[in-house]
Order: sequence, then structure tokens, then C-alpha cells
Amino acid sequence: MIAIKNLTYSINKNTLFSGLTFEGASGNILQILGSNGSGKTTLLKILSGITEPSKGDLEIIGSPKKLFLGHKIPIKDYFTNLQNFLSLNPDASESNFNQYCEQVNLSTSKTLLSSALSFGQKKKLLLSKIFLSSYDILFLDEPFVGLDRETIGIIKDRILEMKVNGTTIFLTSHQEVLDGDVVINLDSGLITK
Amino acid sequence: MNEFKKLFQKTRNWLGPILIFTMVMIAFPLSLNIYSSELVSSFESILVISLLMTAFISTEGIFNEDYSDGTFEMYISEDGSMFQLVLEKFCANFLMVSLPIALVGLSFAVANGAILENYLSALIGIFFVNTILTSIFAFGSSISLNKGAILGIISVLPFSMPAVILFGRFLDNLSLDHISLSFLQLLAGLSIISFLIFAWLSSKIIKLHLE
Repeated sequence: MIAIKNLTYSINKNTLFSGLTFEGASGNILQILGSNGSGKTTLLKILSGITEPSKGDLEIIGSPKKLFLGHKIPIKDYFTNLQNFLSLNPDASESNFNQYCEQVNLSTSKTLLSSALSFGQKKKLLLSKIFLSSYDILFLDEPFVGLDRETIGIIKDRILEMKVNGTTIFLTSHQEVLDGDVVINLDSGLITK
Repeated sequence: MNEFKKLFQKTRNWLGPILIFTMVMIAFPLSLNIYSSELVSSFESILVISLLMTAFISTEGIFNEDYSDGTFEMYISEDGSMFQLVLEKFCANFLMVSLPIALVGLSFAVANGAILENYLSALIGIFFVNTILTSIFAFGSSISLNKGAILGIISVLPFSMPAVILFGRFLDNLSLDHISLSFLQLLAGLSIISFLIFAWLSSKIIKLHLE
């Protein structure tokens, strides 16, 4: 479980959000909504331990297996698709790559350099991490941006499957994309359950 | 292991510094007179400057890619040790750039008549000095990660001066065949200390950049 109390973040005398208090239990989906620049990514980075908050407490019980997938795509252009896949999923094999490509309709060759992939295809390759491993807490920053409708459906199904398995999922978006157990609206400061 | 693979695939990042170093080493005797006695006397300074230059070039983009494409963020979120990742990057750089440069440097030193004996001492010395310089410049690269790494590298240039002076003395002693084991131990100790300290400092600074 993850508990946040009076969380505040300011940068250059500009307060992005203040006094945020909420809890994320096992198997919860927490949606962080807000307009551009409202601090969605920053909040996600604070929760995942990448950034320190200006004020407030962040308590994570136990030592959960976490993963943050941000806007940026850590796919190396000089690696082949298979090399990138194995670099992201060290325990996976070539057959996992073929299965995954089939699952998300990623029509590409394992020997092709990833520089040839489109943004959406690279994102599909990155999202293999959530298909091949299980996590206790997942932080997804705009996970559906750049993906086709069919893939969005597949990713949503996987997120719901992980929720059932007890993963706490934080995800940011401009509008509500899934039925969240908790919705944190950074524009209004409202937290609804 | 992943860092070795990454560096290996980025041919420009490891082959570039080695080729530049080799070109300087080839151009040096050609620009003088190949039979000139000045070759031996001025070779040391050319070697030092070449090492500085290649350490500078090889570390310029050592962290940039992983910083800008989100690799570091993902790695930290998975509770990965940034210090360990930086150490891996340093090790990959030492083995794929510093070691070949030490070998090339040694062969040219022998060819120019600057080193007639103590080949092994010369090789170890060049490698350790290159290790120190690379550690310092990699630290510089981490300082100005989001403002162009070259700025940070220039700012840490004064830190490299003691290593340059030490290397100069080392080459002097080598040419006189006065190299003692304690001198090599000193270089080894300094390179290990700078390797660990600068890797630790770099890891802390990268984390600060991510915040």
C-alpha cells in the first residue's frame, strides 16, 4: 500500500500542487487527471521515488516491485527489436518476443533496427515490460498516447488483469480513460473515490 | 553487461576516440621529421595531450542518451542502484576505449623510440592515467547533463592537471628506466580512488538532474 499525506511540490516559487492526501491500496487504479502543466508527471515521479516532494509524507509499506513508464521511450535505435526487447525484459526469450508481437499486433522483424520503428511501435515494445513481468506498483504516464485503438484495448485489458492480481496502478491522462478507484484531479484539487 | 553491449553498438563512441588518438600519433612524427631526434623528446607531451583529448571526447556523451530517453528514470523506479549503473558505464569505457588507447599509445611510444624497455610498466601507466582522466571527465559530463556535456567537462579540466603532471613524471622516469613499483602502485591507487569517487559523485548528480 502507498499512502500520501499533505504532499506539496513547488518549483521556482510556483506551486504545482499542495496538500494532496490519498491512499492507494493493493488492486486499486488511481487516475491522475489534469491539464498540461498541472503536475501529473511530477506527481507520478514523486510517487515512484524519482523526485523528492517539497513537503509532505510518502509512505510505501514493504518493499514493493515498482515500475515507472514515462513519456520518454528508452528504446535504443542502434539495437535490433529483439535486443531492445531482451534489454527491457532480461528474463525473456526470443519466443516471448514472437508471442508478444503477435499479442499486440507489432508487425516487425526481430533483426530490424529499432530506429525503423514508429513512435507507437516503440511504445508497444516498451509496454512489453508490463506484459512479461508482474509488479506491485505501476506508474504509467499517459500510457495510451500514440497507440492505435486496438492496442489501447489490449493494454487496458492487461491493466485490469494486473489490478485483479493486486497491482496498484497509477496512471495519468487528460481525461478519464479507465474506471479508477481513486481519481485525483490536479486542476480542481478534488480527490474522488 | 548491458552497458558493454550498448557501447559496442555505438561504434562512433568507442572507435572515434581510438581513431583520433591513432591519427594524432601518426600525424605527430610526420609533422616533424621522421628521423629527427626531437621525436623522443617531444613525444611525451604529444602523448599526454592526446590522452587528454581522447578522454575528453569519449566521455562527452556517456550519460546523455540514457538521461534523455528515460532509461535512468525507469531504472531508478525499479530500485536500481545508480552508482552501480555508472560503474558499469565507466568499466565499459575503460575496457573499450582506455585499454585500446593504452595499447596504441604504447606501440607508438616504442615506434618513436620514447620507450625502449619496461613495456608493461608503460602500458599499465598509460591505462591508469587514462582511467583517472576518463573518470574526471565523465564526472564533468554528468554535471552539465541538461546543458550540453562539454560545458561540465571543461569545468572539471583543472582537476585533470595533477594527473597530467603525474603522468609527465611517470614518462620521464620511464625514459630513464627509473620506474619503481611504488610509482605504479601510486598510479593504480589514484585511478581506483578516482574511479570510485567520481562514479559515486556522478551517480548523485544524475539523480539530482532527474529531480
